[in-house]
Amino acid sequence: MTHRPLYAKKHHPFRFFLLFAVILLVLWYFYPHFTPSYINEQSPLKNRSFSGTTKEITGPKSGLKAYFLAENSNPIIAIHFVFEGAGSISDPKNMHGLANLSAQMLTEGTGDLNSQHFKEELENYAIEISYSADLDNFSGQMLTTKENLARAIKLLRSTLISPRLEIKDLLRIQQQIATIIDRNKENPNEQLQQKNSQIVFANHPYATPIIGLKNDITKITANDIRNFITNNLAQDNLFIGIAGDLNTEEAEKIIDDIFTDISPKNNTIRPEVPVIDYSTGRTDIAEKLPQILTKITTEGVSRQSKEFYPLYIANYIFGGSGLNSRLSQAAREKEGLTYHSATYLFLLKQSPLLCGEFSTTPKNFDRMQQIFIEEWKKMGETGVTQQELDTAKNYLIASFNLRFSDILTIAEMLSLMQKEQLGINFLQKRNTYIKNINLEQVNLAAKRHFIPQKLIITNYGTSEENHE
Amino acid sequence: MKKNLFCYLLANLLFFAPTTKAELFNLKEYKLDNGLQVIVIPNHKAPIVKHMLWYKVGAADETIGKGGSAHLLEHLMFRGTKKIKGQEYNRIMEQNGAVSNAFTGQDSTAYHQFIDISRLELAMYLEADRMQNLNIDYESFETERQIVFQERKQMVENNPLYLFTEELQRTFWQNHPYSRPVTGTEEEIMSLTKKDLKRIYKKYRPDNAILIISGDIEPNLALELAQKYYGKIPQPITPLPTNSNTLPQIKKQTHFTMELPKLNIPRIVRKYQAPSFAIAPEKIYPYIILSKYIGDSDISVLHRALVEDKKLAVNAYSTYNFTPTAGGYFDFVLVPTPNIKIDLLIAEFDKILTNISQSFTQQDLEKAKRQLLAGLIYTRDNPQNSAYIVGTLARAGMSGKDIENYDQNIKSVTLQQVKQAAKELLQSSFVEGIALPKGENK
Repeated sequence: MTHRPLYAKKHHPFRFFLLFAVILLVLWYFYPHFTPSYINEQSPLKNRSFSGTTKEITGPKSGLKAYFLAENSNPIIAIHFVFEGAGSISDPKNMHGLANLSAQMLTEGTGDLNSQHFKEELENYAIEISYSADLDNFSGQMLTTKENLARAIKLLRSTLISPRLEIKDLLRIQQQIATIIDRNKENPNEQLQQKNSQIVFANHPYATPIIGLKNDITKITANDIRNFITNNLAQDNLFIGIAGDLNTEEAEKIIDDIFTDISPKNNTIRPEVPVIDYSTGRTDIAEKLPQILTKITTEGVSRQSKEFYPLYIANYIFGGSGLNSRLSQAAREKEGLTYHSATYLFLLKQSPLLCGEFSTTPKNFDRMQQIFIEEWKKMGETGVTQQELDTAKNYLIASFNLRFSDILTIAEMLSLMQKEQLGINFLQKRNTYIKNINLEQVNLAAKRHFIPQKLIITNYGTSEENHE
Repeated sequence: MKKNLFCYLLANLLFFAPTTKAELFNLKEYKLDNGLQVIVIPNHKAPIVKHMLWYKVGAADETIGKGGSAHLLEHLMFRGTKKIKGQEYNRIMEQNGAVSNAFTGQDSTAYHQFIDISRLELAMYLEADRMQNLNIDYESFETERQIVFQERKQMVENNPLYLFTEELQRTFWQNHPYSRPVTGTEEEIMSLTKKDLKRIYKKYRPDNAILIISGDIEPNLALELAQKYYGKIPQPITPLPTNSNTLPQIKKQTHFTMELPKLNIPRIVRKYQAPSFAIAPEKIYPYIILSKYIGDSDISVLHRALVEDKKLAVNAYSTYNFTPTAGGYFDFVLVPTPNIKIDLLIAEFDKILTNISQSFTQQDLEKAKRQLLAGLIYTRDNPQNSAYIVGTLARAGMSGKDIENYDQNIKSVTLQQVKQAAKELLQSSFVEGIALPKGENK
């Protein structure tokens, strides 16, 4: 055997290559990579969930039920309550705007306190009490510190039991509402909204704006408002959500303190269900504007429908998810045609709808309409992909906790849960509802609702001049 | 992005009725070695967090003729970096349930995510990435330019009052950059280049930014994470560009009237120069009380006199904003009752203003203080609102201590100081604009 010096030992070049590759691999392994799931997984902040549980509670005297969630991180309390059916849909003929006017008047002085004293009391003790009407319902809400709870409850009760409805305040509020109606005429979005409602709902009360009609409002008397309260704000159409720094006993007492003495039974006007002609097609309304504004309307589903979650997800994918939606991707992100385009479920009690809106300059208008119809058609015909569905579910589940951001929002969610009969465990179960929806269900909903022939399209701002 | 102008207005609105309280936020303030200011506001109601990065850069930093570049840059921050390509940022945010957006103002541009606490680190990673690695490609630039053009049409020009509002700003701020619209004009938007955006982007640096973390997190951990993601971004060696814009000397009184098509209701706006925190921090508290007393609610002096008693106006209110760094303002807005003489309303309004320093009593002072402080506790309820409020105040120049001492500073205001503020306000320069429906006479 011949002895060869070590330095003469011949290495195969492959071994260098191998060594080099191993070093690279090791470096690569330790080099910080970007994988979202890795970042989430290693975070000490993972695995936290909202711990609040909803309870159904009962006022011991009144027997009225409410949904309650105790939340003690801040010494504040919120109540949100809804009188179902008492929105502008209940306005009698020739009294359009009654529900809205009543909402304003309830906080214009009560009992011994005139309007100014009442408002001063609210400001001095940081108590917020307000009412509002939408198309379907009449809602009230209250926010108070724990320290001023007793006073707040007393004031809230007085708005329902002993509003003063003084003539001077009524005249002032009527004048303010009339001014808002005039101001709304300056707002093209508001104009489109009204014109579109007239096209969609024809003679049904849904066609009239919540704020009402100027001529009707000025004729409404304090007595009309008193009748409105007696007939519409009653125990049997009431839903209540209470959240904040209370125990169950305190919360139950609150129900009685506020609502024991309101009307036991409502006598709300409930009009016929509107007959909507979804084959109306496109209406162009001439007006010279910087942009043409569009609203689209088609049939939706109610909150209780089995199709609710499938359509909710289909809409999310089509136009509900902001810049990532199919609509925004096609119209905004790819072609820069519009700043805002979106679709949404409009859960009207009598005729739930699927709606959409966008606006663009006259030059882009035809292209924008074309994209919208094409995407709508594609959605109905081919549905969504498994990947789109997974992304949508991810978002809807991961974002669920965001709705617990403030105490009033929580109280409002509770009254909605009670009203829509979503169940006392809804907050715990909701993410499972989303998880369980499959591709077939979403695509069936898409097929049933995304039909171009059933789109009511209203364009506001088209004019000869604009099309030059 | 989606609601930038609106959000900025909202942020401003919050300050028209200032609402913060001593030790209320329980905030902690830090500074990283690279100069990044970090403010943590713990809120343990729900496992969520608002993550906001405020750059002290806005439309006021633009070169003349390059209006809209700060805003267009804000849009392009969502269009890809060297690492996170194209629209991947938006997709990742969606996958993780985030509500993510941004807004541009005169003094600041803020990027924010409202997100489950478990995904906070992800948001921090991505925000730190786009502070350094923005990549503007030609196609995205062109598309976003079209989008901001549409945004101006939709958010600004669709409002028949916009010409009036822009004229008011121009007349009030004169040659100061605040006089120009944040969106830029149509011509400016169309003439912007990538170079204009890069000029602004250069000012996005850790020592020119404020990080707000508001939500379900302990301050120590938040600081640790801030260090982990933002701490390694180097502080540029070039000194921070300073903004030496000073306020113009405007005429004592400037009046203009504008007739506008599509306007139905006349409006009167009178805009006074007033102290801002950045320039005269000690002066703002008497002004805040003054604003509360004069016109920030339905029980204020203005509302009582003009709306309830004399019935000359359907609405009358005042707003005081001390947050602009170059100078604050005190606005009055009057909406006349139909068919009254506008001159009559203005004369009555002037009478009230002139009397304020005399009529204001110790009792009024106590009442205003009480009302300002009573509701402060609500501001810590919603982690999103807390982040907006603290971010805006910090950008205005307030330290964490200033913010936490708000109620002490309000409490220590004297009767004499408010009377003095009222006198000063009346002697300050103002612009008064009257917007009339076309064809209607004063």
